Amino acid sequence: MLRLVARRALSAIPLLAFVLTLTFALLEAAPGDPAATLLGDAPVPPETRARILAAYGLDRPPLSRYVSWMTSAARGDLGWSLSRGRPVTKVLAAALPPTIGLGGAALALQLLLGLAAGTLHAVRPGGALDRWLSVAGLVLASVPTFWLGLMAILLLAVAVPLFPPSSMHSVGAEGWGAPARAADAAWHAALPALVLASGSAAVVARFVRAGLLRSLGEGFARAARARGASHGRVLLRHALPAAAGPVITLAGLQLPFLVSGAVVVEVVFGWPGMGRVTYDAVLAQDLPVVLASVLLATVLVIAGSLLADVGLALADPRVRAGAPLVR
Amino acid sequence: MSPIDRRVACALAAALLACACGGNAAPPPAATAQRGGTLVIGATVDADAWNEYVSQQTLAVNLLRRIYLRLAQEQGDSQDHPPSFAPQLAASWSFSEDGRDLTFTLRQAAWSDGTPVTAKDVRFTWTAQTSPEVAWPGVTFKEHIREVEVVDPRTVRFRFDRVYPEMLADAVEGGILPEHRFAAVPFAEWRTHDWSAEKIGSGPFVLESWRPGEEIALARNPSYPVPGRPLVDKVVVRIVPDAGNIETQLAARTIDFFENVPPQDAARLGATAGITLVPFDNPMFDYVGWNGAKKPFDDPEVRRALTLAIDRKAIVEDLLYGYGRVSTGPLLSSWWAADPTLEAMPYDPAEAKRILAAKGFDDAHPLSFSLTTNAGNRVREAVTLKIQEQLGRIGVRVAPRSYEMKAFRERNLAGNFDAYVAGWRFNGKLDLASIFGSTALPPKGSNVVAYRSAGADREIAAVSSATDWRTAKEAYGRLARVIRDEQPYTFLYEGKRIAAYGPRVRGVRIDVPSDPLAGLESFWIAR
Repeated sequence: MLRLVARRALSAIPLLAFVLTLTFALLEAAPGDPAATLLGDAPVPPETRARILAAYGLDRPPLSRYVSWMTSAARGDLGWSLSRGRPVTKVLAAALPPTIGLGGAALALQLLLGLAAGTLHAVRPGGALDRWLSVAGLVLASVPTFWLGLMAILLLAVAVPLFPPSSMHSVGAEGWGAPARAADAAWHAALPALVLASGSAAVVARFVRAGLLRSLGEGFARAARARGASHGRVLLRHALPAAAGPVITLAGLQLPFLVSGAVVVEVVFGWPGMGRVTYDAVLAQDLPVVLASVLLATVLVIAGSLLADVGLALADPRVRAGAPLVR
Repeated sequence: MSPIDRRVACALAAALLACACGGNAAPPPAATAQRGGTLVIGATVDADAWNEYVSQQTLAVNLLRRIYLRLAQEQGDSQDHPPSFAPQLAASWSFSEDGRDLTFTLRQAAWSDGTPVTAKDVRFTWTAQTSPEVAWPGVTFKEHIREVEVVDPRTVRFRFDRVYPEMLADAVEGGILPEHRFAAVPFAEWRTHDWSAEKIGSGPFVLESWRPGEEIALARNPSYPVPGRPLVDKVVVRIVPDAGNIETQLAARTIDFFENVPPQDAARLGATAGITLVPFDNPMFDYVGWNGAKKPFDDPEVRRALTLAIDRKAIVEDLLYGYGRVSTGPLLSSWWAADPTLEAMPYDPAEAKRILAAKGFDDAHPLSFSLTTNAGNRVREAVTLKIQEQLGRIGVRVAPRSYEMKAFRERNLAGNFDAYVAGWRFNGKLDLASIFGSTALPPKGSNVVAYRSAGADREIAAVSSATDWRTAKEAYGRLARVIRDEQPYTFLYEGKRIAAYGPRVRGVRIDVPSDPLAGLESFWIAR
């Protein structure tokens, strides 16, 4: 196990360098001008314009800026965000907790709803409930998230005001006690988390359904039934753990989204997380922020897939024993 | 149906179906202003820096103006004469006999940490404003100020290199900063310093908290003098990147004020019960710039013909949803120097066709050119298509093209264009010499269209040498007529912005178009 972790960590270094170089090259080649974003149509004297660009290093050639950013990043300095007027580390530090909170809640909801729906699917395969859940899942997985978000706001925040339509805190919440603030944050996270989770939950449900149906046909399930176990017990105690493998892999692969954020949901719900930071930075050509976000997301993709492998090994005795997964 | 149910149903219906459930009903007037409460403002962008001199972001600058007072505040009365100014940090001011010295006497004022505001703060601010390291984009306001002298702790003298009508406006431009806090950071580091920790001020509000990307909270400055003290206790700016979400929250009454309603949403939002729209002038104009260094655009007659064939009124109606007006020239119609008798060139395609035919352009030899703009600006991109259609009616072939901003700018500066659509935004200073002066060709200035006119140069010089505003206004009027006759630009439209507020809010005043929050102290919450 340790060798696996060490090997993955070492192979991550060239991968990181490649992804960052590619991102930098793409952003340099992309249309847009950070100076225009900064100064717009305002009549700024040419010499002042030149001084402003020099203050942010935008007057230097791309290669020089790239090398300079990489060397600073290696020392832990991720640069200055010109669109947010703060060091990039501070920008990320402020955006990470909201994203992890929202992504974590969405991941938990997605697994919970996906496992529940997948199990209901498998109670009577081909029955009315299975068919209705299939249709609902297909719809949820197919509709664009921004539309789902807007509809959720109109229905659950305006028509029936159960949840707030945007932001992470109520006005004046900073003066409340810690439990009230946490409850307030959870209340604000509920709607975006539900929207974020709904499409993925439908996918998880399909995985669970397929896994359960396969497991129910396996020898251990037939043996359990032969011992007199009820259908529900066979489903939940025997088939479900065996069907959970792909779901664990799926959850591991979703981990990077905990940090990279869900751009559309964060924009629609005004959630101050990483997705919005990256989105705004791309629009403003704020290169240090984009590079830092990509760096973080890449590290998380690598860590996520590693965690998924470790989780799978812990959950499945066949993997622990080194047995092949496919017979 | 309970009142809450009705309100909610109406808000939903308004948002979903643009129903007319109540019309544009202004909230009933209340007899007297009430104190207290929290005003919630919606904004689509966050602040970029908590220092007026390094921020490029309008919202941040407008909020900072409520925190760091100027010596005097512009009043919204600049229709016929230069704006008058109301005392803020200055109690009074006077000019010397030769008119070159402007002396301010400060009122007894203190920063919110108790330190007195002194003449040294005023001088320090001027040093920052003119520092090349700070590179404040508004530095041209200070170009004629040679020295700022501290006479005593409450008296400061500005020495100018010449006498001109806008000396007071230039002197008071920019909020006064606390030297005892800001001088700790060298000017060279101002653009890469995090200013959000600076929470003192001299104005009606102080920065209470900033949660980037989410919320800005301004609290009433308790040490601010009672007359002029804000009516609300707190102003919270909620950052919601989606304008549609803000509009939904206005309808749901969780946001009280929004200053950037997109024109296409105005009719629907205005039809929502309890919401009042306030259109106000946007100090900008958009134009078509003709390349005067290229044939046939070097001929004023050809440029005039092309202007006559562009239906600018239709552009305002169709693309700005009526929220704008046809531009008559470079002097914004809301600006004191504008001549109200000056009329925009008419829409006269027949006359345009006749002029072009006289110049040798007809169906057999059509005039054809490319019309560029910056990609991503949807209104300007639509304008190029509209112009293509309108000029097509008189046989002129236009090829609209969009370039990303950097390429667009570089092509224009290199003179590599036929015609382009762009705009100018003014923040109180109108430097026509840098746009139309024959000595202001790139890279020295912004005369991208290579406009050379002896008449315009003469009037630009007359404006520069005018020592009083009446003489300046006359010179501006003559300059506007020269430009109108020679059409280096086809002036398309002056924009309008639209603010909206909900039923809780009273006392909304937008007097200064470049600063819609200038009247924030008078906003109040009805309970």
